[in-house]
Amino acid sequence: MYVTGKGGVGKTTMAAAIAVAMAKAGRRAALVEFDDDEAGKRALRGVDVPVEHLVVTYEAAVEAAISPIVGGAMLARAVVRQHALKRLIRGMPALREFVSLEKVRTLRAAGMHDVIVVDLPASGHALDWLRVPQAFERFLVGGPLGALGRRVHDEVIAKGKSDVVIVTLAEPLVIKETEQLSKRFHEEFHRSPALVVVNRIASRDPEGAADAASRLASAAAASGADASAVDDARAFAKLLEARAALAADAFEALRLARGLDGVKVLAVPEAAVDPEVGDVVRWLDLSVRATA
Amino acid sequence: MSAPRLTVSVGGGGVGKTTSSAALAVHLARGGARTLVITVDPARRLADALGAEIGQATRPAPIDPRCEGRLFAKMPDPRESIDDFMAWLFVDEVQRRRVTNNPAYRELSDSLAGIHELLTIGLLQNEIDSGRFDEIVLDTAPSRHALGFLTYPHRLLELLEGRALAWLSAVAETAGGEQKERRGIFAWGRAKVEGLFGKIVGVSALRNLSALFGELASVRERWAELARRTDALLGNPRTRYLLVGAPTGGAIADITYLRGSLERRKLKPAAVVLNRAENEPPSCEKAVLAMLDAKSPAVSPEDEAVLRETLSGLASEHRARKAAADDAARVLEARMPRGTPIVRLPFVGPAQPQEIVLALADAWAEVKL
Repeated sequence: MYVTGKGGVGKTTMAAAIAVAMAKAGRRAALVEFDDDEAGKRALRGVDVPVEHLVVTYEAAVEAAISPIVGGAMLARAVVRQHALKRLIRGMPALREFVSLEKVRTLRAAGMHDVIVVDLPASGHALDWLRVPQAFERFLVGGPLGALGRRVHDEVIAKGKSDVVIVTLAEPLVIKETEQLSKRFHEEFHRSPALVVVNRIASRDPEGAADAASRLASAAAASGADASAVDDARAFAKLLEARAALAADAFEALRLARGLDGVKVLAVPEAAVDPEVGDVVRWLDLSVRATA
Repeated sequence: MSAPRLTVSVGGGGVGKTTSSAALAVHLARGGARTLVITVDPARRLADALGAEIGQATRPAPIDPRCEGRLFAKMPDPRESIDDFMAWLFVDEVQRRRVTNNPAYRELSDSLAGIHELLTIGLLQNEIDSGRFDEIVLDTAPSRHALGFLTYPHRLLELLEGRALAWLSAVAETAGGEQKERRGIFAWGRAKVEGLFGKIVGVSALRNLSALFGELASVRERWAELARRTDALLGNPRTRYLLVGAPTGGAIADITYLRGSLERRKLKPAAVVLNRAENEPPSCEKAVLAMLDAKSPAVSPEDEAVLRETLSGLASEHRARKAAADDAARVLEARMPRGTPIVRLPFVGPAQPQEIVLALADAWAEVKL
């Protein structure tokens, strides 16, 4: 299961929460991250169900990917450390994505987990990642890396072998981007994302709050209160109106998301500050129950 | 003509980096400077907010009448930028076409990874030359590795100039079956590794790769020029680096990482910008609470109940935000070089992107850097 989304949409917390929710349901879950161990580790802090956390570093992934081809880890290390090649490996585009996905493939082949949640980096979109193995297959045709490209695609990307979760925000424009992504995903990979998580749905003030505030402002003006009090009351009414508009936007965004073809949508409320994974797991629970 | 001053914003995703960079540009332009803001990975929302469009051209950003004629934005589409960059790199059109038709280029350039860095320099390039600006605010891609662009030309130049390239073409020959005789244990080991590499990548791909790198190396004076320019920017004491974050654990970790990344390049952050750092709740909330307490003006009991409930909800949001911002500021202060200013930009409540940019531009006016 690949979790993707733009930077700052709460992707890592969501990926961790999905892994935790799976573990709570009794499944053997792993959370895979690339290069950066802090984020996932922080997210999983204080979680009381077993979730295996794996951090894939680039160099180790390159070594692991080529070692069966060259016939052993020692030879692989020799190749990776070769002076000229070191630079080539550092500068080579798409190799990072490729060896990372190969790592996911071997993890799956090991059969130790029921579900592997992959937190994809925010740079580039899921599609850029998922098409890399096929690009390798085409470009490196006839060579062993080309063949490996085929295997990676067939085992951990192809339809039926993987799911994509898109994390997005409750804003109509952001949802439109998600809609485009989902459409392209359909065209290229012939399926829909398994789940769209609409994060940070603005909280609603109590019913009628904006109206009550504007009545207060009129009363203040009528009672001859001093000008600054009237201004404050009006500013407050305006603030509540803007908050109501934001909540309405979120509602509209959610409606758009639910209209996406064949896509399940989860709604997650906004917290004033970073939510903990435990909170998100609870929200996921509630939201599943609400949609069921 | 003096070179423009460059301000480089770096930070992780989703922290409001683009918004606060745009706000800084508005502030500078209000002060009379001819200002350009370059956003490497633009979001449509923000382009709309500035009144600019996503595209290759530098356009006026008519967001604020007080910046009239002085504020410009460049918000390139990354994919189109690659073509522009290639056009700059290869003056010879025939050669450029040969490169872009190379299967290695076609397959690899499609994946954006690693390419952002190159584009960033390419973009800056022309604008600095133009002499049209006093200030340039560069909003880098939202990534921990955003500073990589500073050394990328050097890394590539090393690759293209050094033995690597000669080696690659040698391997291409070897893998193609044109074995040359080699002597000595070192040469034997080398041949072995080369053979392995050929085996990994495959012969035809190796030839394409080798051809591609050959083309890239043939314009090495262009690369050298890029490297020289980035050095000049890097070494320029007027260039400022802003580390941008927000009060979240992830953002703080990103800033800490980026600080280390500046340090390795012997650079210091000019400031840490903490976005969404709540200070005082808006005064209107306090005033409305006072009115309710004083029962002046009088409102219905139902309205009073609704308003009190709303206010208490808002107050707990403020408390949570303020606590998070204070914590973040404390942690950052401890982790930055001593004396690094922590600029707290306020949390701007529900508003359109344009209003947020303008509100933050006001906040920048209070900041002394």
